[in-house]
Amino acid sequence: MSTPPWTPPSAKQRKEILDSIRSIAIVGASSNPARPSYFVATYLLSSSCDYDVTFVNPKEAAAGATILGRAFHPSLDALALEHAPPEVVVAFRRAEDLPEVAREAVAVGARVLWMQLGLRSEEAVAMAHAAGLRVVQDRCIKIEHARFAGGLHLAGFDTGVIDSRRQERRR
Amino acid sequence: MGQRTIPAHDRAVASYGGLRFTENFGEHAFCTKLRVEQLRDVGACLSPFNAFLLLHGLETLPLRMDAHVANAAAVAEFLEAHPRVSWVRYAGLASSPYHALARRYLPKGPGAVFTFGVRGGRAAGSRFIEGLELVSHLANVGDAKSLVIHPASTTHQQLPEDALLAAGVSADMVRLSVGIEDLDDIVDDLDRALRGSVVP
Repeated sequence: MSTPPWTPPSAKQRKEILDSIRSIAIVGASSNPARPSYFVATYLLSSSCDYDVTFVNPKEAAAGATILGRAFHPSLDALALEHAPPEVVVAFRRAEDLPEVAREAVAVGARVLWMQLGLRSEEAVAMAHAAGLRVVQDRCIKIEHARFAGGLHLAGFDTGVIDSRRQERRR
Repeated sequence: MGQRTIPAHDRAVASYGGLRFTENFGEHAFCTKLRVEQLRDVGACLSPFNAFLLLHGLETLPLRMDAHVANAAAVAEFLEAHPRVSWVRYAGLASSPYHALARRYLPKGPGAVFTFGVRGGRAAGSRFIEGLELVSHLANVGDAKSLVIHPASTTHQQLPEDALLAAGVSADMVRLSVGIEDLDDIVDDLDRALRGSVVP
C-alpha cells in the first residue's frame, strides 16, 4: 500500500487544519519584533485566536530571551518534555534546515508540519507526508487564519473566499 | 511569491520596526503597504452610506452592463446610419479598425462610451447637445442614464488646438455614454436633436 503523492492543501483543507488544532510550536521564532515570526506569534496569541502557542529556538533559549513574555524551548524534544508535544510545527527556518525540522516534527508526534511563506522543501514534504502528517508549505499560518477568520476580509483584501454567510467567530 | 521585483515591498520599513512587506505578507504585501502607509497617512475612509451604495450597485452591475452594451451597440448603429452624423468611433461597429481586437479582448462588447461627429462642426454639435431632452449634459460617464458632452469645449478645453487634434479631440466630436433607458427613447431623443442641429 503506497501513500498517494502530496498535493498542496486547498483552501478548504487549510481551513480544516486550522479548525482542528489547538497547539502550535513555532520553530525558529525570533525575539526581534521586526521578524515575521514575531508578527505571527503576536497574532496567534491575540484575541483573534485561541491556540496554545509555544516557541523553539536554541540560541534564544540559551540567551534566556523571551518572546511576548514567554520563554523559548531549546528543541521540540525539550518542548515535548517540559510542556506537551505540539499538534502543529510551524517552521521559520532556512530551506536547507527544513528536512531536519520535518524529522523532529515526526519524532515528536506532531500532526501538521507547516512551512512558512517563502519556504519550500521537497525532502521535508516527502518525509512528513510519508509519516502521515498533514503538510503545508510556502504559506503563512497567520494569513491563512485571517483568511478564514475574517481578518483579511475586514482589511479589504481578496481572501479567495466567496461566501454569503457571515463568518462565524473562530477561536 | 512573485512580488520580489518591487523593491519598495522588500525594504525594511523603519516606522514598523524594520519589517518587510513581502516577507511578512506575501501576496498581500501591496495591499498591506497601501493600508498601513498611504491610508494611514491620508486617512481616507469610505463613509458607511457610500459603502452601502457601492455594495448595492455592485450587486446588479452585471445586469446593468449587459443593458448598457446592448443599448450602445444599437445606438452606434443608428448614429452610423444617420445623415446628420459624419463618423462614429465605436469598436463594436464592424467599420471600426479595432473591431477584431474588441471581439477578441472584449467578447461581451466594448462598453457603452464612445464618440461621434455631428455634421456642421462645433456649432452644430453645440445645437445638438442643447436640443437633447432625455440625454443629460454631464461630464461623467457610466451612469445608468445616458450622458453627453462636447469634449473640445469642456473636459479638454484647456488644450491648445494642436494638442486637441493630437489627442483626437476634433471640434465636431461628441462623447456619448449610453444608459440603460428604453432604447427607443434614447434613439428618439438623439434623432430629434440631430435633426434640429442644422445651423441656419
